[in-house]
Order: sequence, then C-alpha cells, then structure tokens
Amino acid sequence: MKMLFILAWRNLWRNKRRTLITASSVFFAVILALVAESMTKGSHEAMISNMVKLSTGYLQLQDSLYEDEPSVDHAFMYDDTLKQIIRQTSGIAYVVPRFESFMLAATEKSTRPVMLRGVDFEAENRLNDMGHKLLEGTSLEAGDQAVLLADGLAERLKMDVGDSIILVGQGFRGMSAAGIYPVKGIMKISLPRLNDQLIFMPLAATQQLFGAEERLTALLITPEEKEQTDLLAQQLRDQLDPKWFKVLTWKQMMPTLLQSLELDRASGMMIIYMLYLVVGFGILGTVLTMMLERQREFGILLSVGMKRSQLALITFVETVFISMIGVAAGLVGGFPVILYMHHHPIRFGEEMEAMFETYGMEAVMPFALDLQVFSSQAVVVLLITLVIGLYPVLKVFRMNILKAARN
Amino acid sequence: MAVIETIGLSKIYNETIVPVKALNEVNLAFEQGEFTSIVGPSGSGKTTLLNMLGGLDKPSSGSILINQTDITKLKERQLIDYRLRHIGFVFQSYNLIPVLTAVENVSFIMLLQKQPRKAIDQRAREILEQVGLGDRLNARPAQLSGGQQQRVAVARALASRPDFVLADEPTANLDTQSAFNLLDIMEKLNRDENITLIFSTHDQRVIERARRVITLVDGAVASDENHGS
Repeated sequence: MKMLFILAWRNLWRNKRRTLITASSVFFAVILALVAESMTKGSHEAMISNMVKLSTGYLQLQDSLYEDEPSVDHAFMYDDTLKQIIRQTSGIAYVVPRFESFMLAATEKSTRPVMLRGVDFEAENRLNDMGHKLLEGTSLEAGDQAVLLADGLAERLKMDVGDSIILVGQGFRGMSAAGIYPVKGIMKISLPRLNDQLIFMPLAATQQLFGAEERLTALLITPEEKEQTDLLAQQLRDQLDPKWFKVLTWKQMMPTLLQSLELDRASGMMIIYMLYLVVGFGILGTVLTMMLERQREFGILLSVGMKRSQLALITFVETVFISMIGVAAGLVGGFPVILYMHHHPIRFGEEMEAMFETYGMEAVMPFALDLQVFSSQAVVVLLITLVIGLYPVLKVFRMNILKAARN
Repeated sequence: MAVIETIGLSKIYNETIVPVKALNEVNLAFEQGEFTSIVGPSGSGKTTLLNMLGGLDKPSSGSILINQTDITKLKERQLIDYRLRHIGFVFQSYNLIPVLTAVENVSFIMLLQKQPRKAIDQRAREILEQVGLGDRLNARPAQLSGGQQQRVAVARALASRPDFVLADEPTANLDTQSAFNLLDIMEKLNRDENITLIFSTHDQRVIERARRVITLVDGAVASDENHGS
C-alpha cells in the first residue's frame, strides 16, 4: 500500500508544470472563494447585528398573544418567578426590558402617531449603545418623568429640547393613558422608519403612564453566544408555559431580513459554484490528459499483475493529491488575507458612508474570521475532486489491457 | 512433464466482420527450464501466442494448460493473480515505471506479491548485481541507457522467480553489444534459476542462442527444432 502512495506522489511530479498549474487553479479558486464567502458572511453578520440591536434583539419573550395583537393589554407581568427562570437559564448574557405602544403625540400645532418605547437605559445601552446617538440635551435618568425624541420626529413636530409633548393613548385594560412630558434630549436613530416616530421614556414612567406597573410588552434576551440563539430559545420555551408566553428569535421576528440575506447568499454561492465549476473542469482536463498519456503504462502495469483496484487507487490518489496541494496552499495563503481583512475591513468613501449610516450600519465591509468558512471551502473542493477522481477509476476498471499496452 | 501446453489453440480476430486467423490449431509443449525462441515473419502470430500464454488475451478455441491448470477458463481476477505469481514479462520497450528507481522497479512485482520486505530488498539487490547493475540501484530509468533499462526489466521479470518468462522482442531496441550482454545474462539466469524462457523474436542473435526454435507461419507451427545446449 505504501508503494502505491509513493507511486502516486511521484507520478504527480513527472509533469511538474502541469501539476503546479492544476494545483494553482485550485489554490486561486480556494482563495477567491474564501474571500467571497468571508466577505458575505462578515457583512451579513454585521447587518444582522445592527438590525437586531436596533430593532428586535436576538430573542424576545412576549405574552403569547402579543405577536398577533401587539396591544398593551397583552403586556406580561415581569415578576420574581419569571426573573428567577431567566436568571437560572444558562447562556443568557443580559436582558433588556421594554414596554412599547403606539400613542398620539400632540404639540400646540400638530399631532402625530408615535411609538413610545419605555426602556431601562442601562440595559438598552448594553444592547445598542444608544447613549452615543444623543444629538442634543441630556440622557434620561431612571426616575425621570421626561422623554427623548428621535430627531426625525422632533423635526416633524417642530420640537426642541425643553419643549413639552402631550402623549395620549389607551392604557392597560381599558384605562386611558395621557400625560405631558418635557423633552430632555433629541436622539439620532439609525433606522429611518424608527427615526420618524420613536419616543424614549424611562421604563418606570412608561409603565406608570399605561397603568401597567411591573409589566413589559417585550423582554429582549441577548445570548452569550449568538450562534446559540435557537438553542437558548428552545430552552426558554421548555421552561415557560406556552399558554402565557412566547419566545421568538430574530429570524422569526424579521423574516424579510432573513430572506433577503439568504437571497444575497444564494447569489454569492452561485458565483462561487461557477468558480468551482471552472476549477473542476481544470482538474478534469488534467486527469483526462494524464489518462491518455499513460494508457500504455497502465496496460503494462495490469499485464505484470497489478490489480485494477490498485491501479485505480493510484490514479484516484493522484487526483486527490493535486487537489489537496491546491486546497492546503489556498487555505494557508488565504488565512493571512482573511485575518488582515478581518482586522482592517474595507472602508467606503463618504457618499457610501452616508448611505450605510441611513441603515444603521458602519460604512465598512467586514470579513468574517470563521473556521467554518475555511473548512467548508476545503470540503467542497475535495468533494469535487473525489467526483472527478472517479473518472480514472472507472476507466481503469473498463480498460482493455492489451489495447492499452499496445497504445 | 510439460510446464506449459497449448492444445488446439486458435485465435481469430474480427470474427464477425472479416475474420483474420492469427493462430491456427497450435499444439505446443514447453518443459521446465527451456530456452525457446518463437520466430516467424510479421503477422505470423508470435505476439498473439505470447499474449495467450501470458493470459492477456483469450483464445477463440483451444486451451492452455499451465501446470495442468487451463488458464483460458480462469476469471479475470484469477488471471491477474496467475500472471503476478507465475509469469515474468520482458517487453520490447522495457516499460519500466519511470518514477521508480532500478531497485524499486525490480522490487515492484515482489511487493505486489506481498513478499516480506527484507527478502524483497535482498533479492532485488542480488539480481541487479547479477545483471551488472549493482552500482545503479538508485538510478531512475531516464538515467539509464537502453541496454541498462532492458537489464532492469529482465531483473524485474526474474526477481520473483516466476515459472516462466515471456519476452517479446527484448533485443529489438538494443545495439549488438547490449543485446549480447542481455542474452548472456538471460542465459545464465535460465541456467542458474531453471526458469523457462520463451522469446518472440526476429533477432538472429537470439535465435542462435536458443536451444529450441519454433517457427510460426500464418498462425501455424511450421517447424519446431531443438538445437541442444
């Protein structure tokens, strides 16, 4: 067996140039695929992270009826029992409580529907660093009876720091919710949809306004590992009574984002597959030439007593060796490129920067440094090679020894 | 008793289109240790006969008995094993494995036979010494002359001590001196190791050395002469 492997290895270097050209094509394909895959994955991760932080969180705990009918009447009691369950569930980094509802906001001159979001600022800051987006005024303290306006909304209502805003809406279980609050600050919200309608208020003041003390419309849960989101959601579902609670992941709450990412990924994969197709044909070309050139040699080897299975193994191993050289070189060569790009992502110019920021994203193209990206490329190329490697195997098993030897 | 025996051996090519009778009712017997030349003009059936004896081709009719086993009835897997264990081949174009050294080429058949490693090394070196290439053990075929390559091929064929060696025009590509050297070596190995040698050849130098000369004409045995030792 050792001799067969030695033979396969030495055969590779009989035509060094051809082997190197074939291995180089695999090498470049692996590097290109690595860069493309890492770039796609990196940008998707950044997009998900931004959307999740600014919008839904990775996981949400809600009242079982809230998703279908998002009303304050379906706010749930965040009591000690629930807090205990959350505390005892492993894998949770932190939680962000929210109480939010649509209301009518009025000033002396205009009225607009708004989204009032009652938040625990300390927890909210951990999730999305919202304090950094304060444009004017000061942030809110936990005990404040005041609001922060999104700058888009402030502009529409023509309000400034120090003005007062009237909020009117329906409170918990038929109560009316109404109050007048001073505007303590104006914030920049990266998502345009929210920037035109969002008002922040301390959680306690919001619960008081709605007459829903200790109640939340949503508890955002951040897992310690993002990859564990689905597992954590299932753990929580197992512990909570589905009659009263529902645990939703960001994928369930933002299906359109998921679909658009999958579409983008699919188009990226198409390009990568085409790249692999080209490489596959390159390897196949080498294998075909090798088979043609060595017909006589194969015939002789079979004549003198080599089994077809042994000869097939040699040709198969040769194909795999070429591919492995290319893949190994591609992974070794690709790693420093990805590592560098991960730490020094591509930065876009000012125009692009403005566009990215509109969507709450930093204007960079981050690269994912993920072992899975590397392993998946290696596996795909090796699979292609294994399929191509079957060709010489079939040829050897069908070979007419005499014809081959006379070739 | 004959080691090899052909009984009514015939081979017809293109049986369905224009039949060409390459061998016609050939009956031959070869004793252990014989040194035989099969001669005849081109197309007389020399190579076809050798291919049949080597189990590389199937006859249209007749049988080939090797040590009383009819190899025409063996399945391919059994034939491969039969070739590996009982026959040595020497080809006109040497056909060494270009990526292996001389000693590795000679060891190759023995490795396929799964002989013990130590015995293989010892035998490969010993036989390369006998063919006068003790100093070229690690040379690759491309680093050897035609004569040297053919000597390695002979060493490869004889190393595993086969029952008989089939040599198809082994001296055709060699100059006179190399051809004589090769024949000396083969003759000595034939004598020392009692291996049956069957040559197909046009080469008068080989014919003169052979103790038995079989002449084929149009696929049939025209003469079968013993020249003595």
